[in-house]
Amino acid sequence: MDNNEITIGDSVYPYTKDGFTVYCSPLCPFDQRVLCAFKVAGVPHSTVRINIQNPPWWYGLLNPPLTTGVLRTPDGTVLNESMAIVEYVADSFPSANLMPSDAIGRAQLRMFVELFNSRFNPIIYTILTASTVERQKSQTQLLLSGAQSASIELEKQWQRPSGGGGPFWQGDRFGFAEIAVAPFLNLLVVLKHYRGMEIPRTEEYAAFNHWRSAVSKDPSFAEVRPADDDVIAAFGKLVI
Amino acid sequence: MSSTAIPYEKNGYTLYSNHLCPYAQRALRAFKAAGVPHKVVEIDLNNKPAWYAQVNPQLKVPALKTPDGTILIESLVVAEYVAEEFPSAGLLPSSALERAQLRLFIEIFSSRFNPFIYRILGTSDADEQKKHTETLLSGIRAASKELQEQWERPSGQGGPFWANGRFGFAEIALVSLVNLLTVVDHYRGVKVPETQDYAAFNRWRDAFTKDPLFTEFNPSQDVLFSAYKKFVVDN
Repeated sequence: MDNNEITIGDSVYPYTKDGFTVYCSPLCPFDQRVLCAFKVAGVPHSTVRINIQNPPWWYGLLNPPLTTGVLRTPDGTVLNESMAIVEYVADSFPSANLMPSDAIGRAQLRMFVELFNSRFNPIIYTILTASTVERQKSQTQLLLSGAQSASIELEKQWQRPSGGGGPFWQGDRFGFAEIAVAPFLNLLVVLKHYRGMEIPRTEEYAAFNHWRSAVSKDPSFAEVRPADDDVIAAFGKLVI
Repeated sequence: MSSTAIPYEKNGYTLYSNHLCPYAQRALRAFKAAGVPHKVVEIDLNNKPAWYAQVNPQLKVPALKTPDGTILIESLVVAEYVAEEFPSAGLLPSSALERAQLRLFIEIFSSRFNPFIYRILGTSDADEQKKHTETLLSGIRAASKELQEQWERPSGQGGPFWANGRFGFAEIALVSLVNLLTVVDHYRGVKVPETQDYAAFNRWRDAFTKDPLFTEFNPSQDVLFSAYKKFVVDN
């Protein structure tokens, strides 16, 4: 896909004419959601790398908050929240089956993703930035409780027709749940490196671990996940 | 404990709720706007019934039990479920792009407004209050800008609601949280300026405040202030 430029007044920013452009920072897990959604849905797109510490001068014109993981659609609309973009991709390309079509199935899927958004993903950051061992421990307990709850939900889902015995939320299909959560599951390597923390291999986490293992082997996610060393180095900056 | 201890509507929707909780109000408004019959079970958040853990182990409201027995939690998930299950109510926009723009608008509040209401109340430190108020106001300015852009789109119809000239999903998701501005004004003197930066937001707020879908579920000011006293830290 060719990159074209347009002029807005006397300003310029790069984008793909008649296509989807993703402006991203490859080490950012939120951005990985967006890239992963496009890959899994099989939708052509081009990427423009943005250095979040030093964005190009034109970036504020495209996205004033200067966050990355931004999508420019073919008609010029700019979307700048990863979950809204993933829902948009699922919605716009229904034949990719990223989500189920029934309202209850979609609600259960969104609940599962919200479990991670509130009780898992942000806790990874708080464990890394925790300045006392006590706080690291208490936050670790929270993370583990989130993983246990996720394990219970996975088991319930795998017994439903739509869950088809796993290993993914929608049976053998890597979809919305995995797209939204895989980049954060991948950060567990950072917790292990800096905090010696691992998810136990016990029964309460069995479904979670089975799912995590399947996610880590998926080819679509493999294309967007950075090398472990790079992730560890990047997140080292947060560690107190 | 037997499951018959849990009150629910057989073959119908049961919404476990609390009339003062802004998150539960999202679900109440969604059902009302969609015109879907439902039973409301009020949960006293200061004295939760023992059986409620079986409905929602997280012990939060709202929770929805659907006719086939499925339990849904998380207020936005419940509201979105109602909108998707009953599409003829027209609560959600028809195109994927418009739905994405609506989600972005709601997210402005989730990240830059809702938590800061509680943070402003929850600190007695004047500098901290000021800092959180700055963030809140910056979120409101971002929302105001988004409203202006939306009103120029076909679905925006020039406002004052988000879309289609009526109280819809954006309002369902946001009015109860925006209304907490009355609480931070009461306890902390926080006010939204009347300047151009806030004009669209103020116009939107004025419009929805008069709508029956807002007033039906909005507690009186006295009741609201009294309910929020427990979040106010003044040491």
